[in-house]
Amino acid sequence: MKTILIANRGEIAVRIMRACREMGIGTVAIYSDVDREARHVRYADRAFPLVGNAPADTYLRIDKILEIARHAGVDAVHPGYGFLAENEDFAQACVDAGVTFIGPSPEVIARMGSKTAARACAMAAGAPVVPGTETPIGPDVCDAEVQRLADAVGYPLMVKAVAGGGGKGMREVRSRDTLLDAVRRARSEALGAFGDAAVYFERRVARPRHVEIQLLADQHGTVLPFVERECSVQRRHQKVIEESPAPRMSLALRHRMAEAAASVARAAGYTNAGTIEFLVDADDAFYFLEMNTRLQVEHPVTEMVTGVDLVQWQIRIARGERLTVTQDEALTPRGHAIECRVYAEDPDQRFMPHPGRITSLTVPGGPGIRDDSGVEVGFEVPIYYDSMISKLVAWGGDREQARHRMLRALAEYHVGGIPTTLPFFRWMLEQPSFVSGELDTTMLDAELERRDGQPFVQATAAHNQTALLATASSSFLAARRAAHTPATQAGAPVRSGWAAAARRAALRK
Amino acid sequence: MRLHIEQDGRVRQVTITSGSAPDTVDVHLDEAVLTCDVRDLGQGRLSLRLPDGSMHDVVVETEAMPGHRTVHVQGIRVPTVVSTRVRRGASGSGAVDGPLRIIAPMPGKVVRVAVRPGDTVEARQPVVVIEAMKMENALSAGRAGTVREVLVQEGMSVEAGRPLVVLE
Repeated sequence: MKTILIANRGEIAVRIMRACREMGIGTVAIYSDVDREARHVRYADRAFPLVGNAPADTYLRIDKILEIARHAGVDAVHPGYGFLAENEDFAQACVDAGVTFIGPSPEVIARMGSKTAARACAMAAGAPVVPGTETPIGPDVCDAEVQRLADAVGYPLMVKAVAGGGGKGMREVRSRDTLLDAVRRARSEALGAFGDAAVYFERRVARPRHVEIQLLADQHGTVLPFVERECSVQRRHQKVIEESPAPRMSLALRHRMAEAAASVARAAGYTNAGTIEFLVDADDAFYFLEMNTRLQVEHPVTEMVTGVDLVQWQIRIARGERLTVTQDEALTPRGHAIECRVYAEDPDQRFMPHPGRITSLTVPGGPGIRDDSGVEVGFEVPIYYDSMISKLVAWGGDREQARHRMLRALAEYHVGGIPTTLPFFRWMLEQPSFVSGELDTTMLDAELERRDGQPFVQATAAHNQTALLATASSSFLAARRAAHTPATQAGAPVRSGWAAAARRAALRK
Repeated sequence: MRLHIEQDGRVRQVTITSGSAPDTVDVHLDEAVLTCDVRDLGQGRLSLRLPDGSMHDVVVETEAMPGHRTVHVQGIRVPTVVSTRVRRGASGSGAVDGPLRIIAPMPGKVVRVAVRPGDTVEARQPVVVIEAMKMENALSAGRAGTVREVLVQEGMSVEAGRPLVVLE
């Protein structure tokens, strides 16, 4: 495998290219019009335009991407996450074109991509599933039948899209009288988002935790489950903070969940990297939720506590290598890692996405800090795609050290020009519920509702005083610079004495 | 130099002169003189050392509106407005009389207009939904009022800063 095309953009494209570079593999980027100056494009060895901007015209165009793959003569394609990562047609098109798809086979993607088929697979493997309907409820199923199916599952229940993901096409129904309306909305949302209006019902687990098991599976029958990730801090079904290991996790439960995940993956004939998501209730009973047949956004926390490079292993598995990571290395965490997803959103305006140009940037560093970013100063965060700009990860010997390191790194992090969710994380990591580790997936939404739009960070008199002095000083310096800069030099002021000395030295030669 | 700086609803009169030591400025504010050691790090970044010795890396961003700045202090964005004269109406009293324009905070597509001229709206009632970055974002009225004008239609693409609805 000499060259890999990365069929993605942003931070994950950069992450994959970094793995390629470390392995001596060449990289090919693809880009939409607005992404020409993006970091992933400039980082790549070669890059080819997709022409256009909307995802449907660019990063979702199988034909254009394979045309580039052929033209560039790549050996393999890495899909990242999102876009075409879980699209069996794309995986099949790669196979047909004689290009290695770095992920599971098209058949497995299709099987685990349907939520109802995946549930059936999990049940066959003996993994517990949340009680619910066994087959998809298509748009042609009449209201009376919908009600009968729902009554059989019991209330409260969740209506979910069969082709779902990312919280879309998902509705909670507390009682019979709101059922039909919720089904109608979920169907229309699912049709719009996934082109498939089919839904299914699942009993609502009260205040569940979201705990997931990362897997690697090679082509020689070895399935390796990793220590769990806790992803219960969610806003509207979207993960915002992930960590590993899960707080308040017993060794026995870890082993039971890892075993259940591995048996589902074996039953599915799974290869490459994937994740099985579970809900865990207050009594530590766990239920299969779904499988993600790709690399996940939150994979770095697993890498930080196990020392295993999951992306490099995806590539090694795709080229036929055998897994050499031991079960003990994968399942025994060293320390604790926390990840914050930094979005170009204004948390004080109800997390409104906020595209725009990044005018200044200070990225944190120091012990235990990893910043997987897709942006740099001068980049204009486009309106067309997901607004995540970076993932900040902190590692510590235990959870408290990781949390304090994260707080320290969040204080160092500066993004100018656009608002980001950094102030929200500075607040969230100090909340008693987060500090105690008593998490569940409903906690954050309830807390945000209580806050009712109150700003996360409010300026104190001291902040205001500093801002006033900074404004005064910068105006004064600007006026003085303007007065002291001769017109002929206005475009190229000499900032530093060293530069001026070097220039004088050069003139003497 | 003498400036008026508006911040947190107050207008402060400030006089700034060169300090006696190099790289210092004397800021005259409310009868007091605050000597700050200021280093310009370029691109709006300043390192400030305040009279109490406290150190502050700040970024002063220049906004599109003349005189408007956003100052980043310890991760907090503090808006300020600089002028060489006192601006009328800049009392910052928080008065809410007069028309209120609801502005598109980002570029995107108008997917829903929920009000018509003459409608009365409550504070926080959604009036327009804009789609950007794969998300639908409901824009709400900042206060109760009557819709005077609706300036956009469903399906329109709008730029950031574009007025969408006028309330009175």
